[in-house]
Formats: sequence, C-alpha cells, structure tokens
Amino acid sequence: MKNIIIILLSVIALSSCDEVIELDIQQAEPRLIIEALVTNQPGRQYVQLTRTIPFGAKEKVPTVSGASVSVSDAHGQVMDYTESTPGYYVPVEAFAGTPGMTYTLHVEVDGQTYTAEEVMQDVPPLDSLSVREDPEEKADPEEEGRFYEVLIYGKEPQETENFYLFKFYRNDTLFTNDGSWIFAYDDTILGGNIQALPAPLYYAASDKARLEMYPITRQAYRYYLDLSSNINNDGGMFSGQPANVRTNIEGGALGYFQASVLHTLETEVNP
Amino acid sequence: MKKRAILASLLCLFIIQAGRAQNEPQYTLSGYIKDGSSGEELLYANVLEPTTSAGATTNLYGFYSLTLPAGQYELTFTYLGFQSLTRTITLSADTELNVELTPSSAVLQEVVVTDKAANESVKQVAMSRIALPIEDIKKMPSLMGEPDVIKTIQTLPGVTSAGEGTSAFFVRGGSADQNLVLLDEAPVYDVSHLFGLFSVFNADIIKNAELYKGGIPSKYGGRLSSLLEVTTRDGNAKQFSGSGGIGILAAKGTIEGPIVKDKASFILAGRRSYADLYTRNSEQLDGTAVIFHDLNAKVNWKASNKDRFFLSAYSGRDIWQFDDAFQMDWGNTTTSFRWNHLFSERLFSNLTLIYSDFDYALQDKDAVQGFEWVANQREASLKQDMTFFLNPDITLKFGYQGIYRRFTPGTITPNGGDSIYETTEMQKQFALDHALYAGAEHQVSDRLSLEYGVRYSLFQNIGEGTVYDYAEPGNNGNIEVVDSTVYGNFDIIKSFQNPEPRFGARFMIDDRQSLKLSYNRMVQYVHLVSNSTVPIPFATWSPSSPYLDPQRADQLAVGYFRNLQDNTYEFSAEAYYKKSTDVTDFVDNAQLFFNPHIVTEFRQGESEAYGLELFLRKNKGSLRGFVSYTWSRAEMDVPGLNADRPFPANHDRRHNLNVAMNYDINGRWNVGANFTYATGRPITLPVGQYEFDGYLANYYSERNGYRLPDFHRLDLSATYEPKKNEGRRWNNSFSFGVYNAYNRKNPWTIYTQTKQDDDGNIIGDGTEKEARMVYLFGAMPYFTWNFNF
Repeated sequence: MKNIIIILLSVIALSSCDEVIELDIQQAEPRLIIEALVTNQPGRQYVQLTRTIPFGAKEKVPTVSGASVSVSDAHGQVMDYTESTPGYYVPVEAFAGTPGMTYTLHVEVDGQTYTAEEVMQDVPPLDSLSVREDPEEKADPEEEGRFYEVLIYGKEPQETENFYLFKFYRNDTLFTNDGSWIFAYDDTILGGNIQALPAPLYYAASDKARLEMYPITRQAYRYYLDLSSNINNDGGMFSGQPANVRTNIEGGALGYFQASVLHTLETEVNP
Repeated sequence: MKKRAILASLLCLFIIQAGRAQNEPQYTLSGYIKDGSSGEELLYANVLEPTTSAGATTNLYGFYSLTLPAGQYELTFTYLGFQSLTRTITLSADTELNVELTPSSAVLQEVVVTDKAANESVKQVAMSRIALPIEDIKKMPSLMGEPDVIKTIQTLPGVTSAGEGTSAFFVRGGSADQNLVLLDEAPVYDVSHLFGLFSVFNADIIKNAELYKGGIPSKYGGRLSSLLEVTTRDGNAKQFSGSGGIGILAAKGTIEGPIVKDKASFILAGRRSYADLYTRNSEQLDGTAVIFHDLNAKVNWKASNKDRFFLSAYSGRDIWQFDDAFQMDWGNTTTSFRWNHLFSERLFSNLTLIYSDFDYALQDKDAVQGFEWVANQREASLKQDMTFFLNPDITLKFGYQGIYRRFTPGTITPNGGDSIYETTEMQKQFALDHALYAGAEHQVSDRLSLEYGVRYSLFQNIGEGTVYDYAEPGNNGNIEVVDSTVYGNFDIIKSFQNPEPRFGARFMIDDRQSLKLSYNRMVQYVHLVSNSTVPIPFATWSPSSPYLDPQRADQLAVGYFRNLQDNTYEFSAEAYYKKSTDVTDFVDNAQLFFNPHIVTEFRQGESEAYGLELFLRKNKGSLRGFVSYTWSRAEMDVPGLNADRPFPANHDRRHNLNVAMNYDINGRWNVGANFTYATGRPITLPVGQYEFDGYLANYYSERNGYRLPDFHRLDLSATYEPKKNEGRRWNNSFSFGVYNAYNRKNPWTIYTQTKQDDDGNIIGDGTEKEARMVYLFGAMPYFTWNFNF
C-alpha cells in the first residue's frame, strides 16, 4: 500500500507544482527522544538520547548527556550503561540478549524517569544472498555503474505470526531512499518460500552489500509503520491525518525501545 | 414520549381530514406531463387549479394525481423553461390526462414570466433541497470543459469541498461517506474519475440532479448527511437523435430514439478520456496510461397507460497502467429495473430492483513480488414505493426496502509459483438491511403544510464469519485475541434497529414568502474504511458490527423563503444544527489495508455542525445565476483522537461564497462566470522535529490546529451556437473558457520532507527539513465542440 501512495503522490506531482514555504506555527517545547536497541550480539546494544527541535530548524538535534541509563532482564539482572559519546550510551560490560527474554529500559534525565519494556523476538535466519545483473538497469542506470541486484533467499515460518524490520547497507551506508523508506513487514500475505527476492537498491561491482534482519514485536512493527506514515504524509489529502508516532516508552518521552535477535547476511558484489 | 404524542396527534389530524374528504363526490385527474419535443417525462412539473389553488407536482416519473370535487376546471400545466399550457376539463369521473409542454425557445423566454411554478421554492414544504437542471450545469465554466454535476454541487450553500480537483463533497458538516448518491435509484459508491478530477456522471445523459441536505423524507435513509438523486433521461420517444462532443480531456457520444414511437425508447451514452494517447507516446511517461470511460444505457417501455418499465445501467472504470509493470483500476457498475404501475388513478406504485457493485484491483506483474489484489462490495436490493393521493390535501407515501450486502475487503493472489506471496483473503462481511416507511404530505390550511413520517430501519450483520474477542479491543499495537465465535451462512451476528422520525412544516406568510422548519433523524449502518480527507478509490466499506455501531444524526433546520419581482429572484435563508453520534473515525496512523484486525483501528465519536446558508437565484431574463454564501462550523470529538480534545472536522470551512452567472447575449453567444471563495481547510502541521535511527520525524501537537490560506478562484466561459439552419436538424456549439482565470496559486496541501533542491537532491547532510505547499491548477483554458442531430 505504501507503494501505491507513493505512486499516487507522484501522479499528483505531475499535474501540480509546489514550493518551499515557511510555516507560521507555534513551535513546541523540546521533548526527550529515546532510541534504544538490545540484540543478542555483544556490542550491538545502545541507547541514544536526543531532544526535539523546532520544525525547520537549521541546528542539529541536541544530545542529552549525564543521564542514568540501564537495562534489566526478567531475572533481575541489571546492565548499567555508560555514555561513550555525547548522548550515546552503551553497556559498561558487553552482554548478549536472550531470545524470548523481557527487557526493561530505565532512563533517568533531570530527575525524570522513563521506562520501557520489550520481549526479544527471534526467527530462523535467512539462507543466503546472491548477485545478478539487471540488463534493463544496465542500459540506463540511475546511478553510474550501479546495476547489480542482490537477491535474498530464505524461509518464512508460516506457523507463527512474525514481524520484521530489514536494513540494507551499501558499503556500510544505510539505504533509506533519502530518509523516506522504512522496510518493516508483517507476514499476513507472505508465503513460506522467499526465492530471489531483490533488495530495493542497486549495487556497483565490488560494493559491499549487507542485510540486517530484525524480528520485532507487533508493537514495534506498528511503530515503524507509524514512523513511515509520519515521514511520507501528504498533509492528509490522500493519506490519513498526519500524527505522532506511537511509543512504548512511559514517562512522556518519544521514541522506541526495541529488542531483537539480529541476523546479518553479507556479500561482496563480484560479478 | 413527547415524540410519540406528536406523531399520534398528527395521525389523528389526517384521519379527520380523510373523513371530511369523503363527504362530497370527488374524482381524480391523473397522468403524465411530458416534454412535447422528445416525449421525455418532466419531473416536478406543476398542475394548478387557480380558483381553489389546488395543485399537484409530478413525481420522479413525471406522474401527477389531483383529486377534486366534480365540476369544471381550468387547469394550468407549467414547467420552468417550457410554455405553460391551459386546459379546460369537466370532471365527472376519474380521468386520465397526459399533457405535453413545448420548450420555450430563447425568443419566447419572456413569456415564461407568468410561470407560476417558479414560486415552488416558497410553496413547497421541502427545504434544504436544491434541484439542478442539467442545462444549468452545462452552462457553468468547468475544468477542461467537462460539465460536472459534483463540481456544481460543491458550489451550493451548505456544501463544502476539501479542495479543488476532488469529487468529495461535504454537506452541512458531514463527512464524504455520509452522502447517498443514487443514479436512477442505484447507489454509486465512488463518484470520482482520475482521483476526483472529474465525476462519473456524463452530463449528456443526465436529466436532473437534486441534492437533499436536510428535511429528508422518510422514503430515503441509510446515510447521515445528504441524498444526491441523479436521474437520467429516458431517450427521445418521437425520433432518432444523437449528440456528441470532443473536448481536451474526453470524447463522448449519445444516441437515442424510439423503439416503438411514443411507447418505448432507448438512450445510450458513452464517454472516454484520451489522455493515454499522449502519455503512451511520451518519453517521460513511457508506458504510463491513464484512461477512464463511462457507459450509460437505458430503455423504457410504456406497456399501457397503467404500466411502465425502465431498465437503466451504468458501468464506468478508471485504468492506470505504469510501465507495463503495474496496473490499478476501479469502477462502479449499477443496474436498476423499475416498474411503475397505477393501481388506480390515486395509487401509484414503483417497484425497483437494484444491483450495485464497486470494485478495485491492483496488479503487480513482477515474477517474484507480483500479485493481483481485488476488493469489492456489492448490493442487491428490492424497493417497493407506493404513493396514494388520498385527497387534494394529503398524499401518502409508504414502502419497503430490503438490501443484501456483501463486502470483500481484499483478496491477494500471487502471480505464479515464484512469488513470495501466498493467496490471502481478508474475511468477507455480509449484511441484511431492511426499512419500512410511511409518510404524508399534508396541506393543513392555505398557509400551513406539513410533511411527516417515520422510517423504521433494521440492520443485520450476518455470517458467515468469525468474530474475535480482544483483551483490549482498541489496542492495535499489542493484539491479544482471547476468544472467537464462528457464524454460519445467514446466522445473525448482530442486529440494530432504529426508528427515524422525519418532519417538515411550511407556513406561508403571504403569496411570496414562507417560513419552514424541518427535523430529521438519519441512521447510517455502513461505514467507509478510509481515513484520508478525500476518499481514495482503494477503499472498501464495512457494515455495522459488534465493533462498529451505527452512526446517527439529528438535524434541525429553519428557513425563510422569499420570491421577489414576480418570481424573477428566489431567495432563501436557512439555519441548521446537526448533532451526530458514533461517527466513524480511525486511530492515528491507522492501517486499513490487509489488516485482519482492522476493528482495532476504528474509533467512534460525536460530531457537531451548525451554520447559516444564504442563497439568491435569478431564474429569468438574459442574466441568470446564483449567489450562495454559507457560514458554518463542524467539529469532531472522538475519544482517543487529538488527546481526547474536540477538533475541527477536515472539511470545516468558516466562510463559503459562490457566485455563478450566465448571460445570454443574443441567443447565439452565451457567457458565464463562476467565482469561489472559501476559508482554507484545516490542516495538521508539525510543531517540532526529531531524529530516530537517522529518519527525520515530525512532532505534532494538535489535530487540524492550523489552516491553509484562503481559497479563491474565477472561471470564465463562453458558448457559441451558430444560427440554426431551418429544415436541418444538425446543430453544433463551441464552448471555450478558462479555469482559474487570474491564475491564483490555490494551496491544496502542505507536506514536509528532508530539505532538497528542485531536482530532488538532498541539501546538506540530510538533517534539515522543509515544508512545501502544493498548488494544483494554474490558469487552464479549454475548448469543447458539441453537436446534436
């Protein structure tokens, strides 16, 4: 459906014109944003604290330093975090999350406490990646030299209801199509056999391709859908009314605390 | 209790009247009033007996019935734009009298000044109702020269639009899905072509369009806010004729004629856009094709003076193809079969069988990610409407309607064995919809007339189907199904029933002015599953169900009606208040496609709307047209939305002004102008931004807390009809004009994105955001050639 809205908007764009405007708005007071991830891989856990800025502001989002951050599991084990760079907190002692475990995030900033709870999700890993040349793209590449597709192979477990977040990297750079695409899916219409599914971007020879798969909770899936609607909204004409993104954080902050097993596949594009 | 008492006393009143009527011998005069040139029935034409000022108006089928004491009468038959006809008749038995009126040509127009029917707006009990003859619609300037019923409706008082280029209309604060649009009595679910740039109604086949905004008679129900009744022509019963036109958007043609002269006739009309002829050959839009077409067909057969049959069908479709890889299409199909039967001169019956279908499909032709997605909804219904002309003062209307509905929210079929998808079907839903109604039009005295009745509706959400119980029904994030119930075919899942009282009163202050009052309760059992301001065609409907209550509205309206200068001018002022409960809305960021737990996305709340509508229309002379002004408010209060605070409805626009003028210069040249002004629509704007995982998200505080700048636009048109060659039937005319004459950049919407240059390249490091305002149409000239023979 996301694609349809995008096509729709591009059709509208054909018959319309638009220009940059300054919004005459009452800017909101800054709010805390918490971006937190726990995975099963040591070194892949972080908590990032920032704040909102006025819409259209030229400054960078401010980081929040000096917070007290920790993650605890259902067995009562507490992992303390420390600030490694301004606003970016990592575990003092690296740990590996356990699938199915409930994790609780505690953040204390300026005397205010924020908490969130999430169960770490897991699915079987994907099988493999392969590389294929796309002759149509080669004839008229959008970006010079980039006409190789990376194909994904794997199985989707049909007996359970699963939700996924995918991240595609090209030479360690996350692909977001200029900050507009988020690859979150449910398995309602998916079959069990994923064969030669092309990744949504083209690669050049000797590019490094990496795919990260994060199994997520339904709530996290809806968080990413909300985020996508928030970013790609047309102002409420053909899309729904623009709205805030939901959160699983209690205490008045925005953002999300995600807990996933991380599955990674990598390949070098060697035609 | 009070309501019941009022109804009971009204009932007594008409029984007394009925008793009185039987004291002296009375006879009924009845028949059809027709257009003498084509044999087409005239709707709402008048017959008047001047001495007693008894009179009658023809119904939707051109039929009238007038019961009078025995005697000799001089009757006048009138219809706007036709020469009046006077007949002397001696009434000594029930009599059938069919009359044919002659259209008044331009030269004769001044004669029509004596037309009594022009006083209709003051005299009729009905208020909040506007009829639009198609000739008036055709004279309005229009986008790309396509005369458009819906775009004309949007200029009427009490009606707002969400912006130009949309076919959604909002009546008295109601949302777009609260309008019942009937084409020859069959409901049309999506009235838009090209996402709303044009409507599905081909002006060449339409006879009349009438909008009911309030005081809706008990005969109609099912939607909260309005009824738009579009009637098509029957086809020329006297001779073969045809017409056609070529514009910059579409070409169209109509043929019509008698099958058996004066007994049976047909009409067939088609329209097709041809933008795809350009786009297919365009380098830039390689392989993209956008097509829409419409086909209307109707036959009618007058089997006898007592029986008439009509079969009317419509089929229309939009097809969008992108690069041979992706296709989407959608369309409506409607069919209605009607049988008019006169049981007696005083009892008119109409039996209607209706079928209506709306469907859409999306096709991705890729081998791996390809699928076909189809969704539709269908209904079949039977309607029996009876009109009993009890006496000259009282007309009774009663009947039954039963509808079977099937909703198919979506089925996905993979393209082939290599697809990553599997066949998936969202659960179908079914419903039975019944209504019984009875009402009366009752002339109590020379001054006071009433229209009252009640509609009793029963709606049954039926199987087959599975209903889930949720731990928290409103939580779409953590869904926990605790139980489920399976229902078999036609098992009743949930029933709803509602009495819907309707009342209208008209008090004549004098011959030229009247006061009116109306109240109606409306109940809507079907809900559009779309959370956008302008409904997109990829939307289905849902029946009322265990998770969705019927929507209800109560509306009270008062009005002052006055005609000036011997009915040259018609003025009305109406004020309304409408309170609706259980109005359907959706949770923020609702997911309405392929969501098996879609019921968790529904939210229902209240809406409140009120306003004042002023309308001045000039009906005669070379200069004709209208000025309409509306002051209105529409507010929603839906728990769970906007932090439980009330917010302006998406279509809440404080001021609406429309001026439509048409000037006939010399019978050959006709010029028109249309000016529109409206307060900007409410919009939700970001009041902050933040980063999450590299994405730039907006922070919002208040739903619809801001407004787009005001909207205004002037359109101009000119039509030239070369002098008619006597003895030849061929006529043609040329229309040209300009939409948005002074090239106003009217804001359509505002969206936000990562800051980019005009070529779409990110500026800087991609952490800055910008807001952009979208404008749709600059000055757009058009040219159309029309002909008929």
